[in-house]
Amino acid sequence: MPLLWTFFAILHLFSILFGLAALYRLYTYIKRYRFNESKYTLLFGFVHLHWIAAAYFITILLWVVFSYLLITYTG
Amino acid sequence: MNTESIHAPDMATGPTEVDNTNRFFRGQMKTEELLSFTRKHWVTIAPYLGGFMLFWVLYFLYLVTFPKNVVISFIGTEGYATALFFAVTAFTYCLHRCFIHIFNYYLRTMIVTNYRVVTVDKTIFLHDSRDAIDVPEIQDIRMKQEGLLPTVFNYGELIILLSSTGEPKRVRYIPNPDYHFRKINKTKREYIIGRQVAKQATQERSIGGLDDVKTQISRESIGLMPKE
Repeated sequence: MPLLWTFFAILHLFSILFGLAALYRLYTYIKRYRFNESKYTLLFGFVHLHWIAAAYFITILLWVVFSYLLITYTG
Repeated sequence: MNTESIHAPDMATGPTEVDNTNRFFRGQMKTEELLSFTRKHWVTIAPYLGGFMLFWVLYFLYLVTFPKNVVISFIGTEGYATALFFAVTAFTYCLHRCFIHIFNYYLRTMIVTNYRVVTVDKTIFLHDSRDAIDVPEIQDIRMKQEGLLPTVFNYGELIILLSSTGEPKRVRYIPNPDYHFRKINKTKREYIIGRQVAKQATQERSIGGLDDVKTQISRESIGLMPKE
């Protein structure tokens, strides 16, 4: 079981680092492409890229917590 | 005797020239104006959005309905914990893949300017390519919207025929293709008209210069000083 928790920690550490790298690449793109967004260009007419980026990072952190609870209380 | 004509002072020199270099996108030229840009239709990421919803539904279904004790009786507690870890790994991978695809949706754009049509095909990590078609190179443009889903959700394909190569450039899953079809056509027409006007102005200037030369020759032939 300690080995499982080690792998669990490595998995989520990699997950968070990957998320941060993806967000960094995304923001270098945003700095170079400064379009004036409108309801015709946004996802479903209203979803901004910043919202998706924030949701991505929050989801990664929430998944760390939920997966820990999953393994602890159901495993 | 020549008298210098008195010119009225210029009241206005015209609007200040705007420098559009890299204003909206990287590579935008000084006098290049952004007319429109678009991304692919949301239908391209619908499977990944659906997968993301399914991910959370499965998670909560597992918490509520999964027969844990039955599975443990077959594979043991440690086997169950290992299987759970692999499930967490698989879900982590799906989570990242889903969001990366949504980001890639925002990165892929088609830009229409007064000089060219630029298609940016970029992903977060793996892919970055750009294709620019100059407006004078566009020979013909076609719009294609076939099938139930394209008609209901209003997306289609633009086929741009180039005068230089035989192979057409296809841009798929364009939302509201009729608008972009008309936009590119209008850009092409305005470019042609602008070029004709510029050509006419150049011809008029050269004819005006020729008249000055003729006047100078005729003045010299009768012994007058050249007109300045």
